[in-house]
Amino acid sequence: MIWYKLYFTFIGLYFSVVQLSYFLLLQLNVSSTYITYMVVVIAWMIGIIVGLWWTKLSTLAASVLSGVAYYLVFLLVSVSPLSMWTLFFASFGVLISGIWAGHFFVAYFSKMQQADILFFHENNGFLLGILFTIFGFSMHGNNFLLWGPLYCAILLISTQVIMKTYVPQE
Amino acid sequence: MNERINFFWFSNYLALVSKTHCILVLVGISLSILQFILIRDFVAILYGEEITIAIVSAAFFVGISIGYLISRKLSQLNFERLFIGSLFLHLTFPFSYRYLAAWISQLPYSGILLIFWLLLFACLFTAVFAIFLPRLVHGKIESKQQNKSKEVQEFRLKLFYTLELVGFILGFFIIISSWNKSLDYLLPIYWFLLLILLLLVTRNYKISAVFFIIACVAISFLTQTDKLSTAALYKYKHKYKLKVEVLHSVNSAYQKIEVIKVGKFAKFLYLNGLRNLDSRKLEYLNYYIAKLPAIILEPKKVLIIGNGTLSSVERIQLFSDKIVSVELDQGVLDAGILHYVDIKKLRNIKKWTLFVEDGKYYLANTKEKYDLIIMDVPAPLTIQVAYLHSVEFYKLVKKRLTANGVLSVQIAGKIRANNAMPAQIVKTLSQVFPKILVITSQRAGRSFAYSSKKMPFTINEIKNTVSHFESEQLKIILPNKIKNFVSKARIISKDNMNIILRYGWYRLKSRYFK
Repeated sequence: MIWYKLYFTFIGLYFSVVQLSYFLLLQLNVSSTYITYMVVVIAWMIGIIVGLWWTKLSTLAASVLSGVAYYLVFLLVSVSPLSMWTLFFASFGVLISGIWAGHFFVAYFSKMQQADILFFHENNGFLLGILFTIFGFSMHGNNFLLWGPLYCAILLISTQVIMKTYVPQE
Repeated sequence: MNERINFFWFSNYLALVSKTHCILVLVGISLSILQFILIRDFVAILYGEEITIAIVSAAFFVGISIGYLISRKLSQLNFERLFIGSLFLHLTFPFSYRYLAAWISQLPYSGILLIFWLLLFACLFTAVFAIFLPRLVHGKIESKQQNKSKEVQEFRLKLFYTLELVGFILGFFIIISSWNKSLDYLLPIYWFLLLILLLLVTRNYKISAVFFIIACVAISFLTQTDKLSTAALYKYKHKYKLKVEVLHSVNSAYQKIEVIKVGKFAKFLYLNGLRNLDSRKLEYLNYYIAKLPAIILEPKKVLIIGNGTLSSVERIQLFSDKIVSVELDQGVLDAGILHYVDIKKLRNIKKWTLFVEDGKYYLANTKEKYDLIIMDVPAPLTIQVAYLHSVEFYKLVKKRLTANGVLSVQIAGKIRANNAMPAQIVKTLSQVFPKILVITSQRAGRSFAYSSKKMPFTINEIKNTVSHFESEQLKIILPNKIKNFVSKARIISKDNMNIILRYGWYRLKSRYFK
């Protein structure tokens, strides 16, 4: 159980880092107006809703899509900075990344059957992610936006591997 | 008979389902509005550096975590008690937490107590909304209709979480409608939504009626309580000895904007609780940042980035042919128009154009070149503003300057050798511009940097121009001496914004944990 809790925390951390990184990425490379904030929040939430209902999507596909979408948006705004049209494509990227956040709850609820535990640990991770991103970005700026989500994804995959290898009964 | 029973069961089920749906949508809307009100107000109370924003946001999520943690452990009776109690406490918005914060700030160890205060309020107000989702998924609230089968619970999770998120998005649009308005617009809407929620959850008409009556009374005094509690906060937490009056208090799309009158004459502009402008020093600030370079350069085209109060426009109109102002925040512009400038005079300046736009976006997308660019933005205490002091931003500015063009920047304090903020800003400027001249004015209470590809102006030009305004107290640092002041200072760039953390932490520590 402890590994699951840890995993849920890390997944919350990942979602938080990706969502906030999107926000900072677009704020610095597209525009600081409220439209950027709106796009990130609303697209992420729509992504969660899509993820909740897209039952045929596998966890692996959802997670890969999430990461790939983020780095494609990173590439897009780096190649064409301060262009408003990139925000349109970025909103799709945010939405796709958000799908995993919705899919995760359904996938693990069917295993755990405890919504409170699921939400509690994911939310704790999200909280840590806020602090981690603010501190990480302040210290490393753009490098954090490049590597932060990747490190969190590696942390997640490592936890998953450990869970599968050493605690298969959980 | 069977059909009648089935129909009865179905209509009951439908009624139950629609009620649950409404509850979850309302919970989503409430969480959205609550998050906005609490984070904005708490950040303004604790002063809005990035580090404070992070701490306040974290406290909000702690409240949500606590809600999830206790969601299934509470009995229905205790849940309803907690819910009713919390909702009634919401009627004490915004004065309860403001007065408490003002009182705490007078006590010894106020730093620790304020952190406790922050967590307490975040838990009291936020946790209760987080309780709903897990309880409803597991059928705890509607105990008669409990269905513990795996499929039903999974379906509930999908549907209920979707509804809460839809509510959150709807709440977002209500918030948008409240931008640049005071709390007496948003709070009545919020209380009305809480009333419906109270009615749906408890089905207790008496309690709901009491809530309605108290809400009506609170609404009728809301404008006064909002202003009085803000005034108390400024008097005791900001430690003003003279009479404090709140002239303006709104939430814009970006920050809380307040104009505070202290004593008979001083008008301060506060952004997220941080003092941005002192009306007594406005004349000096505008002189050095705008009028002085405009007098010497006589620029054809001037671009002003920031300066939301628009107070520098009038000062330079005689010396230039075209003036463009770019300000991100409509709320700051409104505050400026109401309290700092004469809008009739401004409207008569035909050579002046205003864009409500992000400065960096404007610079990247305009084809115009300017003889003078004035950067009147706050100190780099948040990521958004720090970028406006970064190497990358100054490079953008340089591209939009004519060959003899000058960038004028107020550097958030008086420059001293390698001091935290001013020296870092000047060091960053030195990475982009070959020539920088810094003036420190005692009257303005800060230094100003003038950067250019060539020497911006001669020392004699400055002395001759300034002699009528302020001569004895002026300190001028010439480009060849700048190195002595910034040799150990760090550069602000997209890859290094640790000024936000270092300075934010320093301010937080000195303010609350002496």
